[in-house]
Amino acid sequence: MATDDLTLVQRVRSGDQRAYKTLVERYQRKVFSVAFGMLKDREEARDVAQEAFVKVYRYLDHFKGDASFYTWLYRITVNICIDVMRRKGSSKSENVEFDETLLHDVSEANLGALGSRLGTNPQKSALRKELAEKIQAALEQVPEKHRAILLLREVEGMSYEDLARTLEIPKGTVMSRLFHARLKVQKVLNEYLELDEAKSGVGTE
Amino acid sequence: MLSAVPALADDAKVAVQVEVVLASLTGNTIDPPTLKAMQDAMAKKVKYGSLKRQSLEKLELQAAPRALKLPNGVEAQLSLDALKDDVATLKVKVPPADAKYTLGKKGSLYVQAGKLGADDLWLVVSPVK
Amino acid sequence: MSNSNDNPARKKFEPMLSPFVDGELTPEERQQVEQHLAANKESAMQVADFRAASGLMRLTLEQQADQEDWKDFSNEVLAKLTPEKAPLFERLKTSLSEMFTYQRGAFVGAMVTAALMVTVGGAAFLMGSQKNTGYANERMQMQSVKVDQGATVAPVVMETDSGDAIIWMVDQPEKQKDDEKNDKPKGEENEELDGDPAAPKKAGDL
Repeated sequence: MATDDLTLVQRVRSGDQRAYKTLVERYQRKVFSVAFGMLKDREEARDVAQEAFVKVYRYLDHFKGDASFYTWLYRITVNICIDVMRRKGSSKSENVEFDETLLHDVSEANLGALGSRLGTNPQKSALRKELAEKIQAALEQVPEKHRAILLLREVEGMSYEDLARTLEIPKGTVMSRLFHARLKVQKVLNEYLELDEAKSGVGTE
Repeated sequence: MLSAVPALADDAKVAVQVEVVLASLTGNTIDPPTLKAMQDAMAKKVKYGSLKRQSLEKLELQAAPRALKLPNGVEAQLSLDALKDDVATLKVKVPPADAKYTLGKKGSLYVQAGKLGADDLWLVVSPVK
Repeated sequence: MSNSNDNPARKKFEPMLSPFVDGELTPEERQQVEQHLAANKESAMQVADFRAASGLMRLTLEQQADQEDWKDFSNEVLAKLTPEKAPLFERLKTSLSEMFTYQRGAFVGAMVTAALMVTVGGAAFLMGSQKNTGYANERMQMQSVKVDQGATVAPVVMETDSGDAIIWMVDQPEKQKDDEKNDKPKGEENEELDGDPAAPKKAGDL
């Protein structure tokens, strides 16, 4: 059975660096995925992932153990990503907590296109590949804090409770930001599908 | 205890050497080679691959704070806080941190001064060489 | 164009669709949403869209991670850390010097600083004298480090064998929670490091 995070952290603190290697290997892919989703740049995402692990190690003596190691790791990862975005000027720290117009934007006309076409299209793997490229474009439209929540949820499968702990926001805010982020992604992807249908003359199946 | 603050004469001043150093986790450039000492000093916490000096100034510090603008926009301030029995106490402010220390013939003060790009920026205050 | 504003039931349930997809509703809420989905095609389609986008995103990000070479990643991280476990004395000294930047209360600071001074001072050897004004002490000595009120970072002071002091600024993610928990009056994070070599008492603890 895999050793739990807390035990590994305790071993690291007593000087066992191999235990830290295990923790890095446990989370490296997911930390990278979150960073990549935030930054859309492989090299930057890898650098951020490394920096996050180095920073966590540097601060490990002060990890109290009353929170999960992984919520702490992801909080640091997201903060580094936001720093990088701000330095690049690509940050969209919108003040709008919830954009009501999104509810209007997702119209009946394109609602369900994504679910139905991905679910039934015989060429769904080709479509999936196409849409995968659009996912990043969709994510870029999502304000950074909302994007972080969506990524942590999708990549790590974090519960709302852990999302709230990781990002230090109320659970209700997690819920509304996640909904907002999903509507935005849904809108961008469905618009793409509409365009695609218009071009090819294919209707939803 | 340091509760008694010695009066500071108007002409009291001490000389220090202030370096701004850019530290990166990647690469392997130590420029100038004297920064190897900084790399070694920090190795207990983090092993920087590259250290590059951005600037070096020799300052004479007095009671009035001396501002030093860092490449990342942070403004550091250095001042002489006290001078008693030829022991100088300096104040070094690198927002949001504010440090106070007594000078010695030996030892540098390294203060992390935020980021520049993906790298860390450090302010290094040493005795004048 | 139709949207949730036209349909009170859809308007009511729409914010619950995302937590529904995530399995974050109570059993009662879940049952209510399921009933709503059976009666409302738009909400059902929206749930299908959410699930499709969710699966797509997960797959896409996993594929991105697959394209990376992970063979050396953890070693690269470890290479950036201290390569070897520091000797006991060093670890003790580092952790103690760090402790006094975090522990609240001058007493702990005084104890640790005094202990450090005795230990470090005992090991010090005299350097050639310099003529610079203000440099009568052989070694530099930290007195205090504080951060501005509301700062999200905290100072960690590390003293080295060669007599240097390093002030790291580390994120303090727990700060806010701690403040709430402890219900402490907010003020400057001030870490006085008592530099009085005559002060207590605990050098033997090192």
